[in-house]
Amino acid sequence: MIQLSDDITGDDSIVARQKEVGRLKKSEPMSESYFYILLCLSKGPNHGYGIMQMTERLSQGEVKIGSGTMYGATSNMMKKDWITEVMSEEPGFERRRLYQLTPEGREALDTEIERLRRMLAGVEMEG
Amino acid sequence: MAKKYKTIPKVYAAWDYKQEIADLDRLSEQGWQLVEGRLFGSKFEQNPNLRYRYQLDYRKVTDLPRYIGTFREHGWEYVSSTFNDWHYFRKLYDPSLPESEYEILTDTQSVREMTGRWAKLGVFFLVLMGLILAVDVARMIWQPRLPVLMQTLSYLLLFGMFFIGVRRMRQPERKRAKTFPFVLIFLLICGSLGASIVLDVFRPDMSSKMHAAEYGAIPAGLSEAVCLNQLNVRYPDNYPMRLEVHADAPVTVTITNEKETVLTLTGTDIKESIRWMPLTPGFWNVYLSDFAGGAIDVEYRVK
Repeated sequence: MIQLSDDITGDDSIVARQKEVGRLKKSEPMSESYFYILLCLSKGPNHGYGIMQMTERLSQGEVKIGSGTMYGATSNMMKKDWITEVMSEEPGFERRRLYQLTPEGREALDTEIERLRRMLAGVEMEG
Repeated sequence: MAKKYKTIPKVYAAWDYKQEIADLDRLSEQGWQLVEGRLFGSKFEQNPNLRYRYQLDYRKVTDLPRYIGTFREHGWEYVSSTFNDWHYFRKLYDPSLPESEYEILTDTQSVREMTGRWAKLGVFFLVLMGLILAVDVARMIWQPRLPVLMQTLSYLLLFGMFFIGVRRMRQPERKRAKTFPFVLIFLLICGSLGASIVLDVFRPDMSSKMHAAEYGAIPAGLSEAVCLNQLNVRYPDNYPMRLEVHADAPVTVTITNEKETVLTLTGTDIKESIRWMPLTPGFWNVYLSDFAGGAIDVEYRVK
């Protein structure tokens, strides 16, 4: 019996091409607020105010995220599937909502860190 | 001691939301705390022992618990929401905290998103006003009348108001040059529109017609002319008329109020659409004269 390739329709190559195009398309810079939210969540699930406090600390007091900005950003990110909502497992805080980074969100953060590294590297290079 | 409440009847244009926040802060300082934020007059409760700072957020919220929860985590107490998606929050004032503590939108992207949300609505109304304006301008060209002129001017002002409003919403942070009485102007426009609609709808239909298979002769001149009917003009305006006459012999149609004559037409078959016939208040007579006799059919339509 002739063993045909699993990828009869060429789907895998189409998906690979789409991922590449997607990466190119998504490579717009993200706002500081978005970056810090993803960065904070990369260190573990957290709630809105916790993210704000960590952002202030990580940015050495420069970046503050207000509640309106936080709600808008988390809503957008949930729509993009970068984060999800989970309930806290901490005793006494079971009803607290936490946000958690998804693999797509981690990828978006990594892309942004790559971009920032590339930009900083250009500073040191010769003109 | 019983709590005192009061409702302050004040309306704010959407793009004057910063003014509303400043007013709420000032009222809180004076001891009046917001209980419910409403479009036409918010409700306040007297409590001189508290001082709050307020914030307004414009947003269509689908998951209110998460929304309120996010704000609560940041120290904001939820007050109320209006039917058109404006949400009121307040936080106890602590002078030792920096001003950033009392902001809810902390980057340009979220501010732009917020004003953009309202601007979308504003642009929708702009387009609507534009269409209505175009229709009204066409009506004015076709049949210029006072009520139509009032409506055209009203919609033009409304268009201008929303245009300025959308621009003010979209403008980046800058000191308002001066406060403009938008709400007052809006009420004036509504009044003008209402008056024009009343003038239009309640304008009596002064149309009339006559049909006779055999009508006697009528001499020339107005002294012995036959008065077909009277136009009872209540206010000065242009009264366009459609006139149709079919007769066996030529006949003269005259419209006059004994002081001035506004129309004279002679013919056997008349079919005229008179666009311009300005009439002053009073009674205007429609005369038939100079008729040899025979079958006659007269119909005019004027409102």
